[in-house]
Order: sequence, then C-alpha cells, then structure tokens
Amino acid sequence: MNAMELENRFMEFRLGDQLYAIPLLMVKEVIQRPEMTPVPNMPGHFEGMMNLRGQILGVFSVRKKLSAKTQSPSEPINEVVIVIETKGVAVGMIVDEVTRVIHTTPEMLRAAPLKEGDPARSYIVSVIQIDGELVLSLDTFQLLELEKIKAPGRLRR
Amino acid sequence: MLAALKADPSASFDSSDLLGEIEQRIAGGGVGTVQPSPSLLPSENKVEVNIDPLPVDAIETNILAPLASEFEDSPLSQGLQSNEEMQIIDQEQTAPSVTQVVDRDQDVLQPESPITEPQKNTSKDISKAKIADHREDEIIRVNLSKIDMLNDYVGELIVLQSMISQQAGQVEGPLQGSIRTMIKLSKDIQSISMSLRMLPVKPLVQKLQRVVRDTAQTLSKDVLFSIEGDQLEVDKSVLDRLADPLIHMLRNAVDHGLETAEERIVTNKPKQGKVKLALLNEGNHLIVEVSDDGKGINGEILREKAIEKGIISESQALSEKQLVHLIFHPGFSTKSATSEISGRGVGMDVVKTNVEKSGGQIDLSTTVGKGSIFRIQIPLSLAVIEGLIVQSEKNRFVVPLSQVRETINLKTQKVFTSKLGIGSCFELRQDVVPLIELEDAICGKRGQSTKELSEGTALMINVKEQIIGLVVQDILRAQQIVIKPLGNGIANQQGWIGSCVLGDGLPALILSPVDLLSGKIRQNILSKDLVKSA
Repeated sequence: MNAMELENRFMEFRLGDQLYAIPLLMVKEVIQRPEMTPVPNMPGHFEGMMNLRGQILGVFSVRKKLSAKTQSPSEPINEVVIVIETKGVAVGMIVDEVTRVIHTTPEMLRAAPLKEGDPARSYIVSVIQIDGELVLSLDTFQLLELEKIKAPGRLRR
Repeated sequence: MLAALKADPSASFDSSDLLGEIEQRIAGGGVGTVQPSPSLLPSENKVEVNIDPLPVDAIETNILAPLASEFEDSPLSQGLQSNEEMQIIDQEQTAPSVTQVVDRDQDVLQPESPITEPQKNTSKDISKAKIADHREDEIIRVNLSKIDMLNDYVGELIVLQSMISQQAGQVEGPLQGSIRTMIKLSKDIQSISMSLRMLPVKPLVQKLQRVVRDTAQTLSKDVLFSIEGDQLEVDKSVLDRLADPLIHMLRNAVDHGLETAEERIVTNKPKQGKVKLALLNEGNHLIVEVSDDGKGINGEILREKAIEKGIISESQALSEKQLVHLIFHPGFSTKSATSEISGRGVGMDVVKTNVEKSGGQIDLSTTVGKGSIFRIQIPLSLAVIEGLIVQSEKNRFVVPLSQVRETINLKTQKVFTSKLGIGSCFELRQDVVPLIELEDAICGKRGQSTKELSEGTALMINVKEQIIGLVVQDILRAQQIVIKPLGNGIANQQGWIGSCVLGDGLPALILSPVDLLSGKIRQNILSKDLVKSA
C-alpha cells in the first residue's frame, strides 16, 4: 500500500448517534478506557491523566468538547481511548466506540456546510459521504485546543 | 617500548601498544594465565589480564614485579595521565601534544609544588587503571531519551512483576521456578537500568583540578589541592548542574579564601594554602564540601557592605551565621571591582539557586583566620526522589520529602480561623504558622475546602524563609518515586514538577509546595526580614 492510499484512510468512531473520523496515520493505538487521575486547573473537556505502559498521557473527552448528547442510559457504556499523536503531542481522546477504518476517495469528500465564523469551522475539516451516511472529519489538534496547552511540562533535571 | 619511554618521556605512544607489549612480555615469560600482581593492578579495578588460556600451576609473579616497578618509576606515568586528560576533556582536543602537556605540568608548578603532589598519586592510579580498564572502558553514546524510555518500561515491568509474585502461590510445578527466576531477573534489570543515568564524577574532578591549578598560577599562590571521593557516580543531570557552581566555589576559595603567601607568613600559617574538595555519599544524597584554610569570612565586613547596599538596615541585629549567609544574597559582592578570577558571571546567589533547583541545600561555616567550609547537599539522582504521598480532598499528590521540614497532626493543635480573610493559622513553638489547604493552594483560591483544617495534617514548608503549613487530609506513605515529565497535553503550572506512577498503576502529580506557595503568600508576610532565618 502506498503512502497516498494510507493518507486516504480514516478511523471512524461514534459519539452518541453521530459518526466522526480522524486520519488513521495519527492513531497510535486504541485501548479500553483506563482508570484516570483528575488534574486540577484544566479545561472542561480534559478528563485526567492516564498511565500508558509507563508513559503519562493527558486524556480529553471529545463528547464534552462537542457537547454531544450522552448515550441513553440503557446503552452499556464501554468507552475507549484513542491514543493519537499529532504535531508532536501525544494525547488520548475518549470516544464511545471505534467503528471501522474507512477508505476515502476525493469524490466522497464534501465541504462542511458551516457558516463563516462558526467556531466548528476550525475543527470540522470536511464531511465524508460513505454508504449513505455522513461522517464528520475532524482536525484533532484544533478540536482539543492543543495549541493552548503549553509545551509538555519539562522535567526539572 | 617501555624502555624507550623510560629513556625519553616525551616520546609519543599508544596505551594499547603498551598493553600489547606488557602482554607479550608476560607471554614470553612462559606464563599463560596470570594472576595480576597487586602492585601492578589495584584489586578494585576488577582486572582480568586474559592471555592464552594455558593452564598453569604456579603463578610467577616475579616476572611481573620488575615490570611493575619499571612501569611505576617511569616518567611515563605522567604522560599517561596527560593522555587520559586529553581523552576525557574533549574541549581540550586542540591541546598541544602529550609532550607539551607534560612540560606544562612540570614547568608551571614549582618542582616540589604541592599541586603536583596529589596528582602524582592519582596519575599512578590512573596509569594502572588505564591498563586495567582498557577493555572495560569501551563506551557507546546513547541518547538520554532512550534511557528514560527504558526506565519507563522497566518501571512497568516491576509493577507487573509484583502482581505476578502475588499470584505465584496459585501455580505449581516448574512454573513456580520460572516465575521466581523471572522476578529475580527483572529486579536485576531494574537496578541496571536505574544505574544507566549515573556517571562517574572523575572527569569533572579532573577539570576542577586544572581550574584550581590555573587560578593558583594566575594569582601566584601556592596551593595544595586535595580531593576525596572522586570514585563516586551521580546522575548525569546532577553532574551537569554541579559543574559551574563548583568551578565558582573553587575559584573563590583560591582567590578570596586563601591569603597571599606574605599574609600567610605574617599570620604564622604555612606558606602553602590548602583547598580541599570532598565528595561523599550520604544515603540518597551527594555531599560536596569545598574547604580552605584561608582567612575565613568576616561577618562585620559583610554587614557594612550589606548596609551600604541597602540589603539590611543599620539597626538590624543579625547573628554571626546570618551575617555570613549574606553572601548568598543576589547581587551581593564584597569586591568593589570584578576580577578576572571570581568575577565570571555567577555569584554565590546563582550557586545557591542552582543547587536548590536540583533539590539540594548549601551551607557555610567559617571561622575568621581559620578558613571556610561550603557544604552542598544534593540528591544523587533527580530521576528518583523520596516522595510523600498525600491525600487531599479529591486526589492523591506526591510531595518531595526534601521540601517538608516536619509534619504536624492538626488534631492535636489549636487551629485559629479568622473571619477577616487572613485565613487559618496555628501556633508552633511560639511562631504563628499560616495554614493553607492543598487544593486551595493548587487552585489559587482560599477557603474552598469544606473540610475543617483541624482534621488534617500540616506539612511544614519553608517558603522564602517563612514557614507555612500546607494542610492535607492524610499522609498515605513515603516512598521512592520515579519522576516522569508531566503528560503530553497537560499544561505546566507553577508548582508542578512532573508526574509519576504509583504502586497501583495510577498516575499522580508531583507538586513542589515551595513553588506552589511562593506565589500565594502576600508580600507583607514575606517582606519580613529577608535574612531573619537565613
């Protein structure tokens, strides 16, 4: 598989009823939601820090950020953490479920129908039309406001 | 070759050739496996001279003995040391040839110069070690981040290992043995991986030797520089941070500490001044002492200078100790003009800041006319600290034990709570100690916590010479903590040092109460005599 094809692949995940996608290349791994330690003074969509085999990662909730509807109480909650690495920052993001990997072609991509000035424009890159469904392609770096997070704390060494 | 070198010490040589020649001589003497003679090879170097593995019944040390003495008496030992210096100090790669280095050593210092005296001893040691360590000295350079990553994974391995060892009782048969072996192995791996960041202090010490020698030379002072404990190993980052302060302190000792030869004779002291650098291991700390037998520090002169600079007021009463500690005050210098020797950027306040940044302390004791001793206490490793795991209202945090002076159970104390917004305080040995709840300190708010402060435990923290009680709900335990960087995506905030993984596998924040509190205290509390408890 060549690089072009890899770039056209997205990981699709679900939050409530809506499907979203992020570029597959930035996904390092997907794990079950582990126990996390809360961290004070962090933005509202920050969930806590987790221990990924000795590496400490900040974990964000995509649901809280997008104010997506919560699951209906009857639905079993089995959230997963997608560990991503983008622009040198490795963080975890909590989603309801990872559904599949999708392969896009240019004709499947649509511009997001958003007005000028809509804050969502910064993180919704495009809409992927696939199998009669609409999947929102996200810019994770913008979505999680990672630029606001200063460089990872330097160890006093 | 040995003979040639003995005749002409300036000849260039290669130590591996030399080793080869020694081996040849040994082999030529009909000895297969040789037990090194103690006079040639110091036992602590764990030397093995491996030649043909022919079994030999008798060990002929008489072949080695003359060789050893020949070698030791030869001026070659000097040359070898210079060679060693050049290898270690890469900045000196442009240094002149071995010959010139040797010449410099001999010309510059008077023949009976005391500086050469201790060096002569070490040079012999080094020359022996050179042969001994020839094979062990092979070094590869590894990226520090790889080592840190390895340490991370090993840490995880240890957590898993402790889980497995708890369950080992449930299995039977040969599996038990395998588990035991695996546990032992993983512990071995841990101790090795922890030691990877440790570097010998010797190269630094050798650099310092030259600093003292050059300083003494510039000032035409006769200095005996002695060193103790240069065999220690410390964390790389500690070593890096120690270098500049030590250079400064040694220069100070030679420049300000020691008198000129004439002054020394007048005061009935030996013409030669003594400067000593001692390194020793004390628990998890490295103790570095720089001492001299010079004129000491006169508190009264410091007082005048401090009044002149407006650091203290004329009426202020200071103890002798407080007076001499004035030299750690930023911008304080008794020299009106900066000299080439001691005026090189860093002052004692920078030394102090550097040491404290590494979690260390610096102390000074001095006697006028007798000399001064600077004592630095610094953690051996910055990657591992002694931490106190505390429980706050909502969370667990780790606090470095080195910052906690003492802990007081507030249930046994009378806690005063003011309604005027000053907050709570309690009385400790005639001092009024303000109390700040930990979560409040982190969030920058006061009085948020619903719990009564009197139910908690106060950690006594010394912030800018002021004692503050940081109140936590409970102290869970004290344990060694491996410091990791704050996770990606977690904003660095004042007072946060890093994070760590606790025994149950959950991460926790490591806080620095000193930094956490220093922004929270109002200036009027702090502006109380700066030197009050210095």
